[in-house]
Amino acid sequence: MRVHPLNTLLLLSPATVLLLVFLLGPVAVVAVLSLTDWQFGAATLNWVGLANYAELWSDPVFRQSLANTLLYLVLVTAGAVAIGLGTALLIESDTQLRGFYRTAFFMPVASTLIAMAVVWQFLLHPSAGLVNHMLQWVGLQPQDWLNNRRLALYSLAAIGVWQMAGLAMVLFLAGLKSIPQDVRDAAALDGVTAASPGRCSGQPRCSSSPSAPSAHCRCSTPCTCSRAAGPTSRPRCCCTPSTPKASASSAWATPAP
Amino acid sequence: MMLTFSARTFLFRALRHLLLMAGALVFLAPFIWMVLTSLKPVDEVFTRELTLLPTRLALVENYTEALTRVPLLRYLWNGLLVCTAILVLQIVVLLPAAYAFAKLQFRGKTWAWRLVLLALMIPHQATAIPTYVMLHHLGMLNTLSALIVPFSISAFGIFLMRQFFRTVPDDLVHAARLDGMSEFELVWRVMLPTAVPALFAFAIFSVVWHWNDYFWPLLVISSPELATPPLGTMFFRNEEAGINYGPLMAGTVLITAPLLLLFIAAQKRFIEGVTLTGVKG
Repeated sequence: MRVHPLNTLLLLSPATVLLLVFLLGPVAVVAVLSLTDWQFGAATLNWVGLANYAELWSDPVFRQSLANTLLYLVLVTAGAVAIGLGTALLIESDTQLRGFYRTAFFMPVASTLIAMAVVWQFLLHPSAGLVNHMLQWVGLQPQDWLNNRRLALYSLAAIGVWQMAGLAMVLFLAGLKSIPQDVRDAAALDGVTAASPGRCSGQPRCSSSPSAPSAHCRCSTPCTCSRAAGPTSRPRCCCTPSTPKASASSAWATPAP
Repeated sequence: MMLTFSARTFLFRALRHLLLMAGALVFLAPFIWMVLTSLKPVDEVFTRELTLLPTRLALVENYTEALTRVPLLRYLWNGLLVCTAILVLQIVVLLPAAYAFAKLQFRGKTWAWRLVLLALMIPHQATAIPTYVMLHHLGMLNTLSALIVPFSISAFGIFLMRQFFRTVPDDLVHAARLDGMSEFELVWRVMLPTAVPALFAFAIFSVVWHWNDYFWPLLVISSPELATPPLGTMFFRNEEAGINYGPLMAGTVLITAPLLLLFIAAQKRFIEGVTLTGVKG
């Protein structure tokens, strides 16, 4: 059904106006100002082209900060994804204490980072901090985590991972839950069980030679080798489907969910 | 590996708990340490030996100091006020627009939608200087409005709700129109009730983001009595000058508590909401 254009306009206008005033407009202004010599609060400005960008790029501090940001980005993303995926897989693989673990790992996401930064500053305190107390307890050298030039960025990245991993975990948990049952069934047939839901059910590895085709097939289920069509093609291992019960006796066995 | 079935299960379970417990302990350590330190008197904070529990409970003096040294309750109230106002404004502005993008045909829709997607990618810091100058000319700097008005529009919210509204059957919209509803009634009386789960997800993002925002309040607020919790934390830290950690930790407990309690109380909705936005957004 066609709605009167005036109604559509009225529905859209508040959002459109605010979008232009507070988001798109300011960005356009910033983009234009970046090509001028405008100083904060100044009434006049001159066109300088790309000079500001050239100056920025030749500034060693800017380059250093860019490199630091990239390193921080890589460390935090890799760390948060790895820990998020690991915890999600472990949490999903069984039902005991699921809720508690989920809450524990997600809590940093819901906390006020500035307040937690104060707590971290105290945890990493060179003399009174918990981290150095623990290090001394196991006989290691205490460190000034936040003021040592070589360590500071890594300390901050560790805090970043601590804050982000829970978010990654929740997204992975949702992804794991949405894996269709038939994929799980197929994986179970191939000998993959709930203990290793992230492990690809994989191709059977076949080290057979053409002369002894069925000698070295390695597969978690009863296995046969067959020659694929064509005289030049290599022999292939083919896993014969076994029942889930049979696969439960394979090396990865734990009860399916 | 000739272990029996149940022994293997047991081993696996034990290993799972071992790994997850160790991880959970590391992730919860800052919270535990924060609470424990907030209970310790000053002479027990800086000790050579590591002591977990306070030998003399300093709960009353630390929390009294935290509440009287700076107007901590005022900060929390400001945070609540700002987050609520932002959320209400955002929903009022974005729901009609999201409905129009999802269910109506109009000229220039493709281009308008591209602008929304473009706005979605604008980082908060990029708009800061022009917005600051604009608020200065309007005489709005150092007011709570300066914390609210610039965030009355959320491109993310329009995007999220439009995606959600597209899944609402057209028949529902047609039926409402046949019943004589205007487009505005339709948005508030038909679309809004169907959108509650998605709005909840959006509300979580909005509240967590604005409650925790430090950058913008730092720019526009200079009066301590207008500070939001993150800015207040820094005022408090500067007051304490990094010496007395007991009251400082008591302050951080009070500032992180509201959001954490909200999260623990509505944990299921919280995680569902994050998932909804993460998977679909």
